[in-house]
Amino acid sequence: MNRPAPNLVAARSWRDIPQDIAPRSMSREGRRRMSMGFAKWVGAVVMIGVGVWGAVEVWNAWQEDPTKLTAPVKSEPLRTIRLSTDGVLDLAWIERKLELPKGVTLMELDLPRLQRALLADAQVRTAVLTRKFPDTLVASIQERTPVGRLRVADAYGISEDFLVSRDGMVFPGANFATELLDTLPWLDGVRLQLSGASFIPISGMQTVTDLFSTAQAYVPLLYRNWRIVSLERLQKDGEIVVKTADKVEIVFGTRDDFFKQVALLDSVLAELKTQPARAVASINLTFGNRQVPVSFVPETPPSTTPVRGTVSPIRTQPSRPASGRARPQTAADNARRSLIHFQPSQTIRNTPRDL
Amino acid sequence: MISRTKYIGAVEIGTAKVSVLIGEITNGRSLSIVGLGECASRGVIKGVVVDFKAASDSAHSALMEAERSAGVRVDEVYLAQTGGHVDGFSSDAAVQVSAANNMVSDFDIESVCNAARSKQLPAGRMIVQRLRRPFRLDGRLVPDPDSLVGRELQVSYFMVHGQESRIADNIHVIRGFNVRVSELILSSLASGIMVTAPDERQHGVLVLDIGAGTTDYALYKDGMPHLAGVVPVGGSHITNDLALGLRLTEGQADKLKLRCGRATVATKSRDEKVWLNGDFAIGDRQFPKHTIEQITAARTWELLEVVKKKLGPSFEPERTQAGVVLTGGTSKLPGITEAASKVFGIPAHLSEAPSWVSENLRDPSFSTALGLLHYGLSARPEVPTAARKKTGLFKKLFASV
Repeated sequence: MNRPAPNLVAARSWRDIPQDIAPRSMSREGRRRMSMGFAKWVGAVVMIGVGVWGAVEVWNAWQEDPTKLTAPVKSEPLRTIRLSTDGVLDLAWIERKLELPKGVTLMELDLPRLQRALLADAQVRTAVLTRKFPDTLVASIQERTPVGRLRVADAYGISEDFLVSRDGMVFPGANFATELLDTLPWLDGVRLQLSGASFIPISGMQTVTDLFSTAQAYVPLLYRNWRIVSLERLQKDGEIVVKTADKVEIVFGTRDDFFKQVALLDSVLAELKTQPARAVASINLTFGNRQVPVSFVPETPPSTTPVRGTVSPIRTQPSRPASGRARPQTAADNARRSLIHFQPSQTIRNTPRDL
Repeated sequence: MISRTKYIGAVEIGTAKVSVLIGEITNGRSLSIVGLGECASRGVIKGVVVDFKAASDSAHSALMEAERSAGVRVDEVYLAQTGGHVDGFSSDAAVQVSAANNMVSDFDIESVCNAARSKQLPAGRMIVQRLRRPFRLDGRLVPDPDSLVGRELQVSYFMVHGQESRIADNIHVIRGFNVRVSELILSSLASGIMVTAPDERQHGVLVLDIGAGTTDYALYKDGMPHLAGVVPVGGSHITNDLALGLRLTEGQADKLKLRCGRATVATKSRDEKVWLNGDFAIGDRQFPKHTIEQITAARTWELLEVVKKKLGPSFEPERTQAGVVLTGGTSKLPGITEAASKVFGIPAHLSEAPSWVSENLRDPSFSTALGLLHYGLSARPEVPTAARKKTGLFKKLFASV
């Protein structure tokens, strides 16, 4: 069993000395510190008091009539909408999208709903709406930049043009200059799927955009010639097929670096200029540096399709047979001449022209 | 984890100067010294405040300088206490172990501690610090008797007490800066914890903090402070004797002491002389070096004898194997270790600050302030942990069991 400890009176300790002293015994610095401490204490009490009072007032107003909360600023109707954007959208577009009723006050605006209305257009990447009292609504918008065009036909055969951004978003596109749109290649082989009022983003567009950016940066003259870009084989074979204004089909592979492929294309085209004037049908860059199959449009009508074959490559400068005697030309050899396999030399690889 | 940082000030109001250090204690584990302030002391004689205004001005100047250098404000201070009024006595108590199986319980520890600490003091005196010595269980030394088996538990306290009014003056000087004094620590214990290693304290060591107006001493045995006190004699008395003996002003005598003073007479020739200033200006004159050394050595010897007398039979050279450690501003007097060694009959050496102390704080005059910060980091409770930890709610809940 525990017993209580003996209750002995201990001698007085220095802790029994009261530490409070009169302000007049303090130094000037001590008094200043005391005043500051007191001011802080009073400030903290006032702030807490004001906070509690404000919270009580808001709570009461909320309980009695929530509309009272907006009453103090209700008298100021919205007069100005200020737009800040990094793209082409203008004030008229935003007014159209927001559909604000006349005479609406700043506090009556449902900002989340308005923000959703702006974001419903896929051209808008981010939208921030803020009230600037007394009468201004500020809209800060970041827009998507188109990298390609798309023509979509509905069930009735009515076609409509759309733009596609780097992240694959499809949008009608407002306020873009026609000159700019004319430079964009058309996309082909894309299967669009609706999700609500908009389309599901096209997958693989980032890869396609990388190819476009590389071409724009390093071979702008060639890129200007690109008309149709087919994504049909993108997912399955990893190939992007570009059709130029000269009806040349260029096949890019997504497994290899686009920079190398663009450099190779440039050197191939430069090499082909040295060849006798023959219309090129296709250039396949998917094999990398090893070989570049190039096919030509057959010189003899009626067939307009390029002659393809799986025969072994014929060099532009075929090597002489070991025997040193020329083999007699056959019909098959003539057919093979339509398909050459370009093998870039070391010199060409190291000094890519126009790059 | 959010780190908790606390800034504490360590203030020593000495006779010659006021030293203030500001320490940053992080998570109660690590200490960094972030601020230093010093000011020539005024209004303090022999460690006692005699002019409140002057003492406040100098202490507050040092505090402001330290706060400025640290860039922070301190809200609490560890204050060193010294002065000739400080005295002490031993208080012993013994209790029979209450449990039937003779196992020492918290109740026994608390009882014996309370009994030892409950000595009454004369009017006007109050406790500065209680120094608990190791427990004895049936005569054997035990650092913590909790759960050990024995019949009789003994404990001894050394009660350091001082004049209430003088302690209050010391505290009020700090309160005048609107800063709370959270601990009052005897100067000798503060410097002792800083200049001695745990194994030295275990083997027994005597720490002498020789300041300008007072000499603070602390005797450690078995790893704990055994007794501590203050002798109101210090370096200024050596200066005073020099001034009287050579008919000099205090300032001239102090300069001469710092230049030629010694705690032992080393100069053999009585003809060797030193210039007062050395600038050959009007008033500059020569003094025999032997005479200067004789005066300073005699006074130093006397000072050490006074301390030895105050220690009395508690000082046993054979149980003070780590010797004498000298610190404080006057410990820089040449030959003082030799003198201390002869007086106490044990080896003596000058204090060395720990390696983590920066170069500008390694001077012996900072050992007290550094020790105060050390106390701030690792304050030792008067009652052992076992007896403290079950107080409060648990004690109330299970008091009737």
